[in-house]
Amino acid sequence: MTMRNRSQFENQDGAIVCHGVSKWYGQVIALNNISLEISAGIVGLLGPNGAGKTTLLELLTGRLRPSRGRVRVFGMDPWTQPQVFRRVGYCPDSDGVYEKMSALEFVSLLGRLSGLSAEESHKSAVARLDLVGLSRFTHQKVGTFSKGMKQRVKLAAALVHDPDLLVLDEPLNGLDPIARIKMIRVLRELAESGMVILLSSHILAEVEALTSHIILIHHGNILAEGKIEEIRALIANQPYTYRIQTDDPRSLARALVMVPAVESVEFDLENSSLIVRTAEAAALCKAVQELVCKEGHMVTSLAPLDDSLEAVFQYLVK
Amino acid sequence: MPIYDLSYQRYDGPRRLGFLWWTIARTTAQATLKKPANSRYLFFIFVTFLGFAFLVYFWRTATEYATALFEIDPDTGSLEIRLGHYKFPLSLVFFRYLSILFWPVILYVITSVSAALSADVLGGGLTVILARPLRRRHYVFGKVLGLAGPPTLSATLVIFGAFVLLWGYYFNFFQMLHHLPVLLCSSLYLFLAGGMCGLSAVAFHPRTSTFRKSAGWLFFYWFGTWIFSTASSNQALRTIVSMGSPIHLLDGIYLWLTGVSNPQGVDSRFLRDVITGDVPFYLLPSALLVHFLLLAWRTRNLFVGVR
Repeated sequence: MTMRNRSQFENQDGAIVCHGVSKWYGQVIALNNISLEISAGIVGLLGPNGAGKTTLLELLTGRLRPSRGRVRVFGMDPWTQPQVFRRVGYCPDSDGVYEKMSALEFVSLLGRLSGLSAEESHKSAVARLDLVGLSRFTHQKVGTFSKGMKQRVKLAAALVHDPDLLVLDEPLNGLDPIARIKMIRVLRELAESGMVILLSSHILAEVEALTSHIILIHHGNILAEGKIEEIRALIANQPYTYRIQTDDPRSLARALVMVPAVESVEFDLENSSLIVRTAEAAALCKAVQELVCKEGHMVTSLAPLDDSLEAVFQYLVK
Repeated sequence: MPIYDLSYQRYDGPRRLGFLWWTIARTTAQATLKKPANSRYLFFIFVTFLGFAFLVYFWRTATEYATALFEIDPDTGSLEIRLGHYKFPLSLVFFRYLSILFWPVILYVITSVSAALSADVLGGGLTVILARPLRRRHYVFGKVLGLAGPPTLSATLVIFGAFVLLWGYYFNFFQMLHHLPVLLCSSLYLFLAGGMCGLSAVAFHPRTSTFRKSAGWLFFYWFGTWIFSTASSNQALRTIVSMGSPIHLLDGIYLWLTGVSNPQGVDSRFLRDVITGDVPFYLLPSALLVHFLLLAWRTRNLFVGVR
């Protein structure tokens, strides 16, 4: 194996490093002094429309120059040093395919443009199209493909040069459920092989299925960064909500209101359960445990309702 | 663990990134050559060569019965073409021929620009392409080469063919060497004209407007300015307007480089001014450079919102 010149990456800490990055268009601030570092794994970029997700991806893929601050991808400035894209695969949300080319021609062309030889590019294109489940359609014109197939062609093109960093803008858009499951599996395998994946999506369930590491952007600011559970734990002003399934909700509710950690208890008699809010999740769990063991309450399940990505997202952008 | 420690597991060798423009050029040329109209332009270039070959052959074989069209001046050793009372040097003959060859080149470029750029600029392909280790100038260079390369190369080959034909019929080896600068200047003319055509086509390609508008701008740039500059009778005004005409600038540079000193046989008043020295030569390459820089600057429009 030939080793790449490491010296140019020695000073870097992560695949992506943004330091004090701002981007504005006239009077409109798209990104406001954001700093982040992404080193490994899959990271989901989340935010409502107009939050600044696309601007951030465009900065990372060298399509925009920051108004202020520093963007580094593998230690290089993507705006002035396009050679860094030898190590970066980008799958845009927009169409971005040559409709008159066959899938194989298109993916091979992008392999050539990434510096692969004709032979390498062809081999890699065949392998990548197979990876995304398009091996039967390699010689078919991309223009005849469905949206989901085009999406997979773009993903194959983003992977053709075996990048170290994959930037995906809404990668699962248009995919049917089976293709979506397969794609999620592929992306996980790629991440396990050492590839860093940054993906933006507005479908929270998709991001949740892929990763628990997220970056939440809102109004050009990073609201939160890290694992979903960790972020939830930091939202101190929002009590945790739990659903407790029991055969005797009234009796359990009476016992729970005596627990200092419990803030409120609601009945959900249809489901024979209680909705309990608490600021201290650990204390509640311990109290329920004691009620079950010492007072003989029958509890069939105790499940958090708001440490999902959607709940965290709602809390943060509210 | 830093990512670069993991990434090297899959790295399998160095990559050549300096010649990515060639991939762009080749893909563009393939896309443009698929257009049926373009094969007709290339065929027309070939037909002009057949016409030239026929003339050379006819006047060579007819010398016993008619006045020779092509003559070698015994004093200078230069090939001259006699038409009536006038004698034209080879450089002027090639100049005329280049004027004919230039038309299919520019028409090829104008009709191809849509096929060459629309998929990239309007179809969103540029977003994907520029997310590769490709510099913008390499992309533009590749596009210009792919657009203007096939017709320019065809025209240049035809000029070479015409020269070889004359050599076969009229020149010995040393006379061929004597006339070689004409061939080189003709090739330079075609390369410059082709390059400017391609660059202007890329520069005037609209991101959001129509193909017709783009073609209209190109026609105006190449032919509108030329017509305006030939229509003016005032020398100062003519000179100023001609500086905006790339055809006049290229013609003037060719005539100056080939050393044409007699304005006889040159129709354009501006070019006569160049030959007689009324218009300083240095203005021509300077103006052409300004054209080049302005067009290159204008190509930035292609990348708005892309990179």
